[in-house]
Amino acid sequence: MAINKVYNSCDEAITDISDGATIMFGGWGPAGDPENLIRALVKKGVKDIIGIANDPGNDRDGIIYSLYLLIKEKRVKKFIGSYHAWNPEFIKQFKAGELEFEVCSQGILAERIRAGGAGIYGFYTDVGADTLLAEGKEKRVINGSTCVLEMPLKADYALIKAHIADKWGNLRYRFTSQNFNPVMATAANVVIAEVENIVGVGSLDPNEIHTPGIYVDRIVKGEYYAKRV
Amino acid sequence: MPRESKKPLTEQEMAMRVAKEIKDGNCVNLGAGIPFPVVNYIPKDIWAMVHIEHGILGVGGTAQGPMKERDLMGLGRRPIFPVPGASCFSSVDSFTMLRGGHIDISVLGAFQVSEKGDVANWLLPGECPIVGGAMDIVGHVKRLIILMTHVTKKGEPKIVKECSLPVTGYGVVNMIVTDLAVIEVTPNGLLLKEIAPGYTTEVIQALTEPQLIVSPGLKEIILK
Repeated sequence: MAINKVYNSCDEAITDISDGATIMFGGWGPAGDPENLIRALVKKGVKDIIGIANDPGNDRDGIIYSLYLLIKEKRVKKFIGSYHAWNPEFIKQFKAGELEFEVCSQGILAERIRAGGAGIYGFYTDVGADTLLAEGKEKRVINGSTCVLEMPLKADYALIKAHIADKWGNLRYRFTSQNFNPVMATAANVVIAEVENIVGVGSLDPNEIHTPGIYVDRIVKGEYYAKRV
Repeated sequence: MPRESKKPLTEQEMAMRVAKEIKDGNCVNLGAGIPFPVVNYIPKDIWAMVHIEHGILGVGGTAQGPMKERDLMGLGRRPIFPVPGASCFSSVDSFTMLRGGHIDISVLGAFQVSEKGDVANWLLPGECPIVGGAMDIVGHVKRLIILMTHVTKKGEPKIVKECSLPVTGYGVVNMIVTDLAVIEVTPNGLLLKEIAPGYTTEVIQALTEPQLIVSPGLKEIILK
């Protein structure tokens, strides 16, 4: 196999991410959180990030997840997500007008990312169509329901987390750690997957692949996972 | 006859009351806060699957001790455990189930519910928005039950004529279960069906902004 997607460290895997990048972050809470890649991003000092994730993360009893560290260090200028996760620093920066927050109902967030990855240029939905979130959106009545046009989301990078990868980037997840990871894998120019185990090509059963390797550009074994939940 | 003292339902009892709404074969989405504990009171003699937005159908409850898994997180980032027959999937599938009308019942918390069944549960004045998946859920599940305290901490009614807070969905609520009452949203208005022990319809009405229609079959909330 000539192509090599496997990187030796998370630092190496994110080395070309520069200031101002639009980055998708998989995970919801500690499940499916690309925590080693995020720590590498914090260490590298990348700033002015446009972040796309379910939520901006938090520190729950010492379990730090999602964008918490990046937000704490004011590296995120805009966040697209579904709620604040009671992240005190996020709420503070939002209220002070230091951080732009594009709020999107969670399923529509997933669907916008799906559209971005699937070559769909927009879609109509009645979700939130009669609420404040519909302001400024194009409207159309379909089958008697008022709908809004939702636009696709794409990113420069997607940082995702899976349980196991083969060396071509076929991925498998465990339990609720799928969440946004599989869909984000389809919607970014460069998809970096952090995993707990890397196995040889052919070791995974084709019937049980969640994310096919075509979507994955880089694979890296995460250096550290907190045992405690 | 001595009057029984007023006894609002505890959060646990509120969850027990909602669990009685779940029928054999139902797939039930539970929201954060008071709704999630409903999972603990689903009758043992029926087949019902609990869905949470995290991407699992078939939640058994909150995991304890060695069952805790970082890859199996539920509401409030608390570890959960699956029941036999459970399935795990992505956010896209999780919301396909909700938006596509495949889920029978959703139980959510709320700040306000109006007499027309409008619900407000995503934005408080001056606060950071917290939509989560609520807008995908309301108006798309077959039946929406709101589980909340009857009044705010300041004692103001949460069941109102018109929501003063930004609305999540209009005319989407089917039933309201509070610590004081069980109310059905009907085309004619709010039908008061059950009240907490020791309460009178007059007391419930005084704590509710719109006029309630008292059901001819009005009874005390029964938990068992």
